[in-house]
Formats: sequence, C-alpha cells, structure tokens
Amino acid sequence: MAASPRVRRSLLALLVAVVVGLVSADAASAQGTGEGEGTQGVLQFRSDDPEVTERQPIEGGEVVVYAAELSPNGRSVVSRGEEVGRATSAADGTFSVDLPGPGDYAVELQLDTLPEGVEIVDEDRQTLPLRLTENQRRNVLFNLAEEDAAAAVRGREGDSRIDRGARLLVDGIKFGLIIGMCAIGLSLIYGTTGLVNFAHSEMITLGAVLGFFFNVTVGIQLIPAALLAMALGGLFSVGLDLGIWRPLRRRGVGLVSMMIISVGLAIVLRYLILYQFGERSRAYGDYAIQTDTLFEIGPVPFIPKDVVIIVISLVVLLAVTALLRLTKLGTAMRAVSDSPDLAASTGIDVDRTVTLVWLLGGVLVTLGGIFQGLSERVSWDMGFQLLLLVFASVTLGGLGTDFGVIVGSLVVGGFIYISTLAVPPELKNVGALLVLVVILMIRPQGIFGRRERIG
Amino acid sequence: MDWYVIISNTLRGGISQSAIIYALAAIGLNLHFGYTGLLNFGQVGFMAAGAYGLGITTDTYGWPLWAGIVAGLAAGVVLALLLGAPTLRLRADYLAIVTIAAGEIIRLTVRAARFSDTTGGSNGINGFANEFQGWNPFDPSAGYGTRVFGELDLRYNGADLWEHIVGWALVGVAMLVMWMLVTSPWGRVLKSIREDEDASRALGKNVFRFKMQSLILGGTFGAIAGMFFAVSNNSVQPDNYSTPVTFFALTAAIIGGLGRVAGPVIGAIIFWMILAFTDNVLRQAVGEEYIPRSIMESTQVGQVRFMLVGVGLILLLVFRPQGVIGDKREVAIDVRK
Repeated sequence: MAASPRVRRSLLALLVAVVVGLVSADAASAQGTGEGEGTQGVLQFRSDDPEVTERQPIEGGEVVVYAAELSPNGRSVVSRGEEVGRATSAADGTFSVDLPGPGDYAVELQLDTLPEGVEIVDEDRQTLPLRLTENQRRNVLFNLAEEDAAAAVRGREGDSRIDRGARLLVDGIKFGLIIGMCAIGLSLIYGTTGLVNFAHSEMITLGAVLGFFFNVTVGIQLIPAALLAMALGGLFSVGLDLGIWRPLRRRGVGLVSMMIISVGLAIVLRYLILYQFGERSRAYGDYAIQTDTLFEIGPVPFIPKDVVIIVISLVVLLAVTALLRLTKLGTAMRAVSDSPDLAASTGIDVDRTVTLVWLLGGVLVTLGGIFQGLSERVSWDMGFQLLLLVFASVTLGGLGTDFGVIVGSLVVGGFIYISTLAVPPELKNVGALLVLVVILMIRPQGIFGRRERIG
Repeated sequence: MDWYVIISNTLRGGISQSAIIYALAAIGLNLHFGYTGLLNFGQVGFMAAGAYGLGITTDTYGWPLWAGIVAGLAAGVVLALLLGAPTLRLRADYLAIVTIAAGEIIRLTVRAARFSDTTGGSNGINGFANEFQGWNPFDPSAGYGTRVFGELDLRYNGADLWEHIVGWALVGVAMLVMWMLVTSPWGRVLKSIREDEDASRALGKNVFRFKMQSLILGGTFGAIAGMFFAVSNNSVQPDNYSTPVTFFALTAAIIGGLGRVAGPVIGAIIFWMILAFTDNVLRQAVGEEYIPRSIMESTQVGQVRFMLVGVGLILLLVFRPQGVIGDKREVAIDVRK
C-alpha cells in the first residue's frame, strides 16, 4: 500500500466529504452567498482533439441576463422580460454579472459571440433559468463543444440502430469480461469461506493504482508493470487472508460480522488509496489514447487495446475454469466449497486451499482493475463504482460458481451497454441493478447456482 | 494547539445536525438489525425517499411543508413495502445486497438529468422549506448560549438553535417510540425472530408480517432522518444520499450498542464527537506543522478521519461487538448462521 504513488494532491477536500454525503447542502450545492445578488460561470468548450482532455476557456463570449417569469419550481423559463445585465467572458473564460436583487431571471448565451466551430451541445439550454434569494450568487453552466465532440455527446446521429447496437455489444462484452475477472475472486472466496467480501471492490482499485504506480511513477512499460502489479496484488490478497480473515475464522467470528468487517476494511482501503493517489482520475502512460483502428468487423471498429483486453480476458477466464475443473487444486477448491469439514477429513489442507483462492482472486482482480483503468481511467473510486455490478454478475451467475459468474458478467456487461439504446447512459447502471434485484426475487441462487435453502 | 477550540468543536460535533441525522437513521437500523436481525445496507435509500418525497411534493407541486412531510413518510413506507415483499424471505447477505442496490438505484435515478424537471438532477432541490425557519420562535440572526469556563464556545444563532431543538426533540420522540415498541409483546416477537426464526414460526407467528412491520417502521425512522436533513438544510442533494451514509450509520449503531434503545443515539453522538475531535486535532497539527506537509496536507484530514472510521469499525466488531452499552447476549450479529 505504501508503495502506491504519491501524486499531486487535489484541491478540494470538500468534494470528498460531498461524495460521502457528510457536509451540509450550502457547501454541496453550486451556489454561494457573496456580495449582492448575481450570477457567474466559466465559458469553456470540449475540444475535438482527443489528446486535449481539459476543457478550453472561451474569451469574449457574451452572456445577457433578462428579468423573467419562471415556472413555479424555477427550472424553466416561462417568459422573458427586459435586459438587466450583461457580461463578456475574460481570457480564462470566467464571467460575472451583478443583478439588481432577488428574483427570477433568464440567462442567455449569445451564440454568435462564440469562437468559430464551437457550438452548444443542447440547443434547448441556450437560455437558462435563474432564481436568486437574498445575497445569492449562483453559477450557470453552458455545455459547449467543438462540432465533432458535440455530435459525439448528442449520440452519433445518423448511425443506424443496428450499427450502434453492434458497437455497444462489443463494448458490453469487453466490460463484461473485465467485470468477470473482478467477480471470479469474489465468487470463489464466497464459495470456500462463505464471506461476502465488500472489500473486493477496493482490490479492483488497488490493482489499477498499483499498475499506475509501476507504469507512470516508476516508469516501467505497462505490460511488465501490470505483471508486477498482479504479483503484488496477489500477495496483498494473501496477506489479507493470513493477517485478517484466517485469525477471524479461528476466533469463530460469524459470517455476518465478517461481512461488516469487510465493509470497514473497504472504507480503510478506499480512503488510503484516495490519500495516496488523490481524487483526480488519470490515464496510464502507454496505450491510453488509441484512435487508429486495428481492424473492422462490419460496423464495429476495433482499436488495439480493446482487442488485447478482450483476448487476454477470455484466455485468462477460460484458463481459470480449466484450472478449477482439471487440476487437483481445482478439485480441492470445489471440495472445500462443498463442505470444509468433509474436505478436511479427506486430507485436503483447507487453510492452504483458501489462501490459494485468495491468491488467485487477488491476481485476477488486479488484472481486472488494470484493464478497467486502461479502458476508462484510473481513479480512487473506480472499484466502488463497479462493486454493485460485480455483485449483480455474481448473483446472476450463481454465488460460489466459476463458469456461471463469467456468463453472468457477460450478460450484465452486455445488458448495461445495449440498454443505452433505450435509456439515457446515466441510467444504464440502474437497469443492471434492477436486474440484480429481480433475479434475487425469482431465482436467488442464480442461473448456475445450486438450489439451496436461502430463506 | 488551541485545546479550547478542539474541545468546544468536539462537543458541538456531538450535538450537531449530522449527529441528529445519524442518530435517527441508526435508530431505524437498530430496529432492523439489532432487534429483528434484518441486515439493511440501504438505509440511505429510505433517507432519500423521505427527503425527495418531501422535496418533490413541496417544490415541484407546491404543497405546504406539513403535507410534504406526510408525503415523505409515505414514500418511506412505500419503499419498505416494495423492497420487503420480495426480499424478506432471503438470507441476510442477500438482503444486504438487494438493499444496497436499492439505495444506489434511487440515488442514480434522482440525479439523472432525464428527471431533472422533477428531481432537480445533480443540483437537487433547493429552497423548499422556508416555512421551517418561519416557525422559528427565536430570532434567527441573534446569538444564544454562552461561553462555558470562560473559553468553551457553545453559542448558536437562533436558526441553528431552532434546528438543534427540533432535531433532538425528534430523536427523543423516536427513542420513546422505540422503547414502547421493543418492550411490547410485538417487540418480544421481533427478538424471537432474531434469535430463531423457525421457532417463532413454530409458535404460530407470521414471521414475514413481523419482519415487514419492522422494515416499515425502521425505514420510517430513516425517512424522518432524510427529511430532517432536507428541511434543516433547506435543500436535497442526491450525492448526500450515497452508500457510505448507511455504513456510517451502522457504525454509529454498533458503537453505541445494537439491541438497546439508547445505543444508536449514544453511538451517533460518540461517532461525531470522534470525527470532530480527530478533524480539529489533525487540522491544527497540520496547520502548525507538527505533522510535516510531506506526510499530510489539510485537504487530506477528511480522508484520514474515514480511515479511522474503518479501522474503528473493524476493531469494534472483533473485540467489542456489543458496543458501549450493549449486552453481548442481546447482540444480533450472527445469531442466524
């Protein structure tokens, strides 16, 4: 842990607190009280250049504020009155308008003052409603982008649904394989010890962050860096078993207590990673940006890193199922899953088997974390964001299984991406979580799980 | 180090708005987990249901505040029915996963831009509870209270004083209700379900119905916590209702002692006193460079606090699962394997 990178610290400890929901709303909302009523904001746009990830400021953009009548909840403009103020953005894109008093206003961006090629993403949001109470200054935000980026945000219009569906399916499979890699350890650990390990999510993050440490901080190429991270992640996982879980099992601590202890462990790890890594998300030094396609199958372009992620994940996952089915170690693992006592009486070293399960799970989840970091970016809460999806996959496939979990992960990953054809992307995870709830209602043991008494 | 500041802030932390919110939420968790053995990891979902039930009806539909409060309570009950009907027959760990997912479903849904006309999206809903300060008998801007022992600052302005009085009155009423519930025959059935579900069933008790009633009542305490959060801030923000809130409330309940009426309240007070104390001590230590900047910056103090919470939770469960005032025989953890 101490080895993870010490990088530049982020600015807002506040944001951390907001994330965990502990500060009061006046800090959490985007409004402050300052010198008299007014509005302010930053005009900036998203660039078409994929290498430029920071939004670019706009100088000289003009914003006009009108007195207005708003709907009762203040979220849409009913009618617009006379102009009460205007401002032009400075070199850093900031603008600020002082307003005569509390009340309802409409803030309009003058599109003809924007630089060439920059447009507003949602044309309905050119005029924003603004309701001010005494001494309140509220921020307004216009979502601006260059042509291509704007089109990308609007969702590639012009594509047929089938083309988009095919691309989403491939993305979904890739995502599902990554989830599968993270999920298999969770499932096997549950199978052999009965522990629902909420700290498994932080192992995902830890894996990605260890990869980042070796790759960016130390400066090793990503592939050897990933191997090093996997070794360390596996060792850390074994360390958790030997240092925490085995002593607890020996003490006879029950499974529900252990589950809550894993929650505590997850909290410790998550904030330890945040402490070391900072809250800004980062990309790996290699393969982060790839725009050239390797090949195309029908309408689906494949970039090299996606191909690598899909192929390696598939091979690894199949190798793991083979390991569990064909080797002595796999037989031992499955015997311990069935009944630790019976396994012990047939001469299987239960403790050693459990430790090997932790090792296997730790190595796989580290690779899963690195792939997720490569596919998206590395951030301190990436594992936490995946946790419930991993649970969904494990539940769907059957807690304690191996092959079932892989199928479950693919279904969940595919479902999440395909569902964006019908629902807004921001709601895609909601669909997957609803599926989780529904499965637990109708078939709690999952598709491949053995029927047992669960009530 | 200014110890007067540290001590007064620690005391203020113990009676803060956060302590009130977590006490109320933890009282509900205690009914679920401490008395009935239901492992609800989605108490924050009930808080969000209450807060948004209130916020949406008052702001978007213009209801008066009292009607919004009724709507918030109703939203909590409806959520309990929706969640409980299919899941109460599941094992504890499955119930935990379903409830944690339900809480996250609610948060993701209310913060979605798609529904922002109703829920305000990621900005939430603001300024719907002005009536609350309208009921304030104190002068909101005047100062009340005094310095104790010359230096300990325990002064509040009228607005905060009103908020604290209402909040702690709510906690008091909730404790009274809990005491009446758990000492009643109904409460004894809950404990019997916690100890041995099959035995209660064999005695002819409708276990499912009792669990459902427990889920609804405990969820209602959660909804009240969420509404108090919303009303006292005059605002509902979706990201204030994320998963860790449940875990922190659970930690508070375990600190105090599960299966005791006063446990969650004492736990919430201690939890927030510890957070305030560590926050102030670390901030001053960093500010005066007792801790070098290369090790910790003031922005990281919050993170260290949460690490301590996690360590505390682990140590409690291993070494003192009954918390401060709990009775080891009464603590529900792991009764049902």
